[in-house]
Amino acid sequence: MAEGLELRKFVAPEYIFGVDARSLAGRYAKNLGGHKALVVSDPGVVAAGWTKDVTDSLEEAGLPHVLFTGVSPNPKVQEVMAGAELYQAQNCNVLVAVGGGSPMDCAKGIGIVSSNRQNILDFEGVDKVRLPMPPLICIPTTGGTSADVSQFAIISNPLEKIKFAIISKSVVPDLALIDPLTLTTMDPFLTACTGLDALTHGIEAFVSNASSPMTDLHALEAIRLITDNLVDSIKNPQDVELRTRIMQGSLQAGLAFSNAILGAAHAMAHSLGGERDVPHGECNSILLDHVIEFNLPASPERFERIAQAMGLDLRGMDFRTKKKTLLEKVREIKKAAGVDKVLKDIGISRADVPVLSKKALHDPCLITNPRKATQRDLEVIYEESL
Amino acid sequence: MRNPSDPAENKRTLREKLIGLGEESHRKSYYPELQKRLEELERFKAFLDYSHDAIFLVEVPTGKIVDFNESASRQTGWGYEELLECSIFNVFELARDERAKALICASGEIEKRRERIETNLFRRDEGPISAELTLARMFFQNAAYVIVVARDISKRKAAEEALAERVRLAELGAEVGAALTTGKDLADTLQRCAETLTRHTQAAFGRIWIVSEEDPEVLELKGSAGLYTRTDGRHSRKRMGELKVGEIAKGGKPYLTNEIVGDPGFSNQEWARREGMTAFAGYPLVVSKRTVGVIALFFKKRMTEAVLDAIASVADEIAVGIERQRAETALGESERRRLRLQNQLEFAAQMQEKLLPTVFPQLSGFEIAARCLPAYQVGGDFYDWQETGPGLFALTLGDVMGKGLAAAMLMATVRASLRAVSQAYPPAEALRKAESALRQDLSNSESFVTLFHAQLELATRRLTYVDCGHGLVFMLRADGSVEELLPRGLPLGVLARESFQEGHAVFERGDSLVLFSDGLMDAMQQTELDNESLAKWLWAASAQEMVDRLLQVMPSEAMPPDDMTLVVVKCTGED
Repeated sequence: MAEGLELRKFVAPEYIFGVDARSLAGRYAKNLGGHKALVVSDPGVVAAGWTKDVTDSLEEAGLPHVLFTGVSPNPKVQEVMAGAELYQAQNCNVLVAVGGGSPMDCAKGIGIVSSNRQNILDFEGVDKVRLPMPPLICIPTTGGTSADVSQFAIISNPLEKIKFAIISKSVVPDLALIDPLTLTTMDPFLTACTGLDALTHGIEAFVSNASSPMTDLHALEAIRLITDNLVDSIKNPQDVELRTRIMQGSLQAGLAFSNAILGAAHAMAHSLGGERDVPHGECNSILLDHVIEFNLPASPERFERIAQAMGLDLRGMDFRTKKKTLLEKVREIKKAAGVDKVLKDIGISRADVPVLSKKALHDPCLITNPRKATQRDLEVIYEESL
Repeated sequence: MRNPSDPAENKRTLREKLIGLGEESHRKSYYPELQKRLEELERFKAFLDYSHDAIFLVEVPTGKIVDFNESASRQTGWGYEELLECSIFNVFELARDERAKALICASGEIEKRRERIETNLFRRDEGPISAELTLARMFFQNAAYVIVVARDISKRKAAEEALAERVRLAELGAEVGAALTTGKDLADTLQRCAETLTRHTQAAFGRIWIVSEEDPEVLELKGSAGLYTRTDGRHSRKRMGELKVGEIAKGGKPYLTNEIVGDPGFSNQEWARREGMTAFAGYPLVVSKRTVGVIALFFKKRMTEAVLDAIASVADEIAVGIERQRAETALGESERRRLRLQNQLEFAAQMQEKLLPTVFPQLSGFEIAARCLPAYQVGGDFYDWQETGPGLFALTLGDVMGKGLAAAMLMATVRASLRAVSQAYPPAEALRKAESALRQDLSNSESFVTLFHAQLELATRRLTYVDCGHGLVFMLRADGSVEELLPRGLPLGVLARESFQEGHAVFERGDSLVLFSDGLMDAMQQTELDNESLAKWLWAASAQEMVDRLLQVMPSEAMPPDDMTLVVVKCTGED
């Protein structure tokens, strides 16, 4: 079917973007019918002081709250279950997540476990959430995961050494309070990882076989904003304007991929993340250029538009040169951002490749990858990334 | 990350879901679930509303009603908004109930969290009704509440009270009956009736007046129980028409009211208000359309129909009881008189018996037997004999008209007179003398006497006789033939200037003179006997046997219908 004639849906939460958006948490939690809030955060964010800003706002609104910070960088099944237990024991009725992807995904997990009274493992897959979860307000403090606007929640099951995705429109938060100021406390590495994650979101969403004009708009703008500002932002961490552009890019990348879904880079990164406790953004970053190389033949004109968004002028070039130029640009950004490891650097050997590939082959993100990938295809990409 | 779904699941379907086009790929919406929960709530609310019990949710510690079911509004008569402005203490009589207050008004932890209380429910426009409350303290979202579940038990209470009342009223009937039959006298009976009436109708006090026997215009207080127990105080006598009781007695109609205060029929309003008198029931005691008394009961609460019915029914019973007691008293009087008379009669009978000859004379060649059976204790018949000279023997059988004492008295007089004169005169002359002596007495008493008087000369066996209207005599000859003795004259006392004619008869050996009074005559008529057949039955017997046989003619009754006297004189011919 010709482009633009297929059915497409666009889902986005209500969000408030801007400096000090986080201080609106109390008002909104109350407006959503909150009597008592469970605030899900992690120790790093607490240390940065953003959590307190949010709980102060809740207190100002006269809303009692309980703080849950038992969340590790890749939220685990038992952390979700512990949070749900606390939520119920404390008679909470609203969730507020403050932090990166981990606290936000964990909060989503706590929400669906509480309302459905089921184990978190039961929700693995697409559209498995039966009863709506309590109101959820997300206050992202990293500029990459976009869990605050997405229908994804990624949870680790350490027993089976896998990360599984819970994908449901039902886990899209009720409200995102996107405050660029929160990015100012990120260290350069975290800034780089999350930024490259957002860039991957933008690229994969744009070339996804489920893309649409609406997601394209956001994806291209995200690619442009991140390409232009990430390195500067890493160099000038306190520059709120730069941080704002990154945050804007991350938000738009999120809106794009939440609706157009992702591709092989994410499928393979999820597989990696299950095997090694490595930051998600770093995994994406390692794989990104290799996946682009694999996908490029399937949708050269789309990649050309990506290149344009990244500020490249490919006019007059042949396919090979275009490809080379684009890949160089991506690798240049990775390098400039300081995330230029290969898989070996994170302890992956050739022996791990078949297992990683097998897992990645079954990742839902692979479904929207522009080029159909076999297990062998994935093995080759992993091997090239070693 | 692996594909979490069913391996068989079509990738295309998965893709649809991923990009939000699956059947279940919708945004979070509370609405379907909310609707479901609301329906559940609605159903639960309907279930609460349809409950017969009134249910209130009460805030601690203010007692403010914050929620309630439909039944609560229905039973109290308060509208929705009105109830929400009420305290639970406005709706139920709990202000002085320490248990309820402990549960509702104490904040913080309390020991007992559940109570069951019976109290009154104040309705908006009507009077209070009895309710059974269950109060339970509970916590909801950190706030303490008390759930009050109220059940209308007025019907149950009323049924219990009606039952208790029926039992009381049944006892009332029984006790009044007992008082009426076992009371020592009328005053004791009516005092007991007043006591049992007051007790069983739960009256403040009750009184029974009766119409005076001496003065039918006066009511006398005979029974008083409850608040006032004196029967000899200020209210002991009332004139007909005076006060309410007087009016009831005069009018012969009951007067019933459940509102004494404000009723112009009660002059002492101040007293009624002070004592809290609410109701009054006054019933005339009527027997055969005649008022014999009044029952009056005062109550501090409203009377029920059952109470009124019970009073009405015992009023009749008491009225009849009064009448019967009075009749019994009167009957006692006449009985005493009768006993006195009885004694006199018995005395007279004994006297009369003494007048009759007790020893039969030993006459040579003759035997005599006699018997007198009076119909009452005393009778008008008599017989007598006496030796009037040597070889001369006088014999009399008389029957004074009438029976009883008057006849007996006249008989005694006749006997005495004849006894006096027959000593000196032969029969005809003796009777003339006696008749002249008795004439005035007989005339005054408008009575008369039939009499057979004879004189027997033993030597000649000759009998000289005068029959004054008696006729009940014959000579039974030894051969069994019957010979009437003539002539016969008129009874004594019948105003006729007639000489007494003597007749004569001579006894042969074996002949018997049979003399009897009309008592036997009556018996003979009943059994269709005549002198001849009687003679056959008597023939050849001794004088005593004849008397005995004649007695058998009588019907075997304790009391003969008339006096009966028998005398037989038989000539044995033996010396």
